[in-house]
Amino acid sequence: MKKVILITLSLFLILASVYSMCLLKIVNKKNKELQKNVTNIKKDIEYQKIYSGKQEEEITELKKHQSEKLEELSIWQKAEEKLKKATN
Amino acid sequence: MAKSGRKVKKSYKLIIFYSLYIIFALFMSYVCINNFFKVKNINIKNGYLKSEYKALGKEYKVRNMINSETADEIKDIVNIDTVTKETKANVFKLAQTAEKRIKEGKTNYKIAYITFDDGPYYLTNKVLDTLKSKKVKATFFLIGRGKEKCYDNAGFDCTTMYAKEAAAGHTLANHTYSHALSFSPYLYGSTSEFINQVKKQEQLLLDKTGVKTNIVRFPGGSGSAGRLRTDMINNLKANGYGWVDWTAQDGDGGYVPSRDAAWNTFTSSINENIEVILFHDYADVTYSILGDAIDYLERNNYILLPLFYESVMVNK
Repeated sequence: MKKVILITLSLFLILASVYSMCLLKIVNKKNKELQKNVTNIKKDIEYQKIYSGKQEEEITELKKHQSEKLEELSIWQKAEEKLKKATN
Repeated sequence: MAKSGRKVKKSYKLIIFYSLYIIFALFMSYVCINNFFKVKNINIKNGYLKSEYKALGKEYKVRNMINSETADEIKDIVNIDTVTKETKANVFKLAQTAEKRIKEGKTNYKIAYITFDDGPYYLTNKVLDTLKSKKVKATFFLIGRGKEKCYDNAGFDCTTMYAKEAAAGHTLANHTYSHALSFSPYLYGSTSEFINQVKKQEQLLLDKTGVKTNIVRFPGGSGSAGRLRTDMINNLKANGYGWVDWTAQDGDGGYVPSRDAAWNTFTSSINENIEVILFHDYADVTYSILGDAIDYLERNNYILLPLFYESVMVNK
């Protein structure tokens, strides 16, 4: 009886330790994965910031001339409208 | 005695065994408990990391959306140039049909081509401003000789005006490089001299603006070429040029005593349903009537356009 108890307890302790070690390994792995994901997405966001910075520069430059371009277009559109009436 | 000795030995062995077992059990328990605590802590950290990742994911999506919208906005602005180019091409296509209908008397609309000769000049900046404010495109028949020594009213060398006129969407046209009507070598002295001056001016405009011009006006009008007129015209055609004189003017090619005189000459010259109007962008008197002249033409149903090679008014 004593032997059975001792053996059972020993097995239980060994199994529990092994289980806890496996569990620790799994959560450590998950932790590393999550850390990698967070690092990667932070890098992607940094690239996005650089890209949007360049876009801002480009659009600021383009907007300087946008009103002139629109004015130019409207002049040609005005002539086009009159000519359409003249050709109908 | 021996029996009790064996009993004592057995007891010692049991004590050692149980002691070792207890140490073993305690150690294994410690390992388990320690590991479970570590697992708990790491799970908490993982929870924070998941939240952080979720938040960053949202930020990433929002930034992506903004970048995409900005890219579309950039595309729209850049597209304006394409649409303008297409609209301009369509205007010239419609103008050809409109000219035909006007000649056949099938429409009440008319067309007027405002042209400026001998520039660019000191007044050209102001002329461009008036055209811009009136939303009108014109044609500039340009010369080259002496323009680097001429200064516009902004203080710049007049040759900078070529690109400004092109950028403003006006038609650039060729009035020969020298416009040599009163000095040697005389422009109409020979056909080769005339064609050389036309080609020299074409190259100058191409170098300064990137625009290849193919419409020519004879300085003084085609009649000034005298006996060589037909030969020169044939040479222009052979070189792919069209040429055009004018049908209306304000007289600023000569002496105009006053604004009223210019105005009267101008209005009395407007008779045809398609007019090519001659102005000079060195003439203050022309600049003074320009805005009113544009209004007058538009009130009288004229559609104001810059010249284009396919126009019926350009001789080919």
